[in-house]
Amino acid sequence: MPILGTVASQFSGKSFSSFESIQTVNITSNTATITFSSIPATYTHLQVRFIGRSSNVSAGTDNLQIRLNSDTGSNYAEHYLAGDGNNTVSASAQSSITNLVLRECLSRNGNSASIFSTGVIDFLDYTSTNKNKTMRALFGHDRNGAGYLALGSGLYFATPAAITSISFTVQSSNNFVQYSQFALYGIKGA
Amino acid sequence: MSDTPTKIVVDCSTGETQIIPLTAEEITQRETDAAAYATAQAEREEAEAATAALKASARTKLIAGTPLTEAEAAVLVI
Repeated sequence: MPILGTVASQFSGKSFSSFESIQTVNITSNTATITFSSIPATYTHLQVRFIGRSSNVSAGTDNLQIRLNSDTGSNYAEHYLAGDGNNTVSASAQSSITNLVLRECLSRNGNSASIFSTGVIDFLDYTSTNKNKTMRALFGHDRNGAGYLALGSGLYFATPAAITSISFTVQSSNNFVQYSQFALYGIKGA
Repeated sequence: MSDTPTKIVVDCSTGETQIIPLTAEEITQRETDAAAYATAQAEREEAEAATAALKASARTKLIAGTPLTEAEAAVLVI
C-alpha cells in the first residue's frame, strides 16, 4: 500500500477544482448591459453569481433580463415563483417571449441605500448541440421588513446550439449601478 | 458628456473587457424591451387585482352564507 505522502506527490501541480472562475464584472458606473462573450466550451455547466441593484428611482424591484447568443427572437419561456416568508406573493409563467427573465429580481435605487439583490443562475449542459437550453435561478433581496425569495426557470428553444454569450439587462430600461457584480463560473464533470 | 447608455463586454477567451456605448439599434431594442415589460407588468397587476377582488368577494359570501359564483369558488378551491 502506498504511503499517503507518496500518493499525494503524484498529483503535484494538477488542478482538482471542478468549479472555476471564468470572468467577473464589477460595475463602477451606471451600465445598461453586461455581456460575457466567447464563453469557452470547456465546461459542462455554467453558473452566474450576481449582486445587483437597478438605477430606478422608484421603490420596489426590477426584472433582470437575460439573452443568450444575442438572440432577440421569441425563443424563450419562463416560470417564476416568489414568497415573502409567509405567503406566495407572486407567480407567473410566459411562453414565446423575447428573453429569459428573473422577475422582480433587482432591488432599486428608490429603496433604502446600499440594499442589493443577490442570486445564483445555472445554465445546464450549455455546450450540447442536441438539447434546448435550460436555466434555473434562485434569487432575492431583503429590505429589513420587506423583500422576498424567488425561484425562476427558463427555456431557450431557438436551436440546440451551444451557448457562447450571455447578456444581462435591467428590463425597465434602467441601469445596473455601481458595486453591482456579475461573476461567471464554469463547472466541470457531470 | 454623453448620455448614451453603455454596455460592458467581456471576451471570455481573452479576458479583454470593453465599455462600449450602445448602438442606435441596441437603444431601440432596449426601449422595445422596456415597453413590453411595462405592458406585461400592467396585465399581471390587473390579473392579480381581479383575483384579489374575487377572493374578497368569495370570503364575504362564505361568511354571509350566500351562494358563490363559479369564478369565486374557483379562486378558493384548487
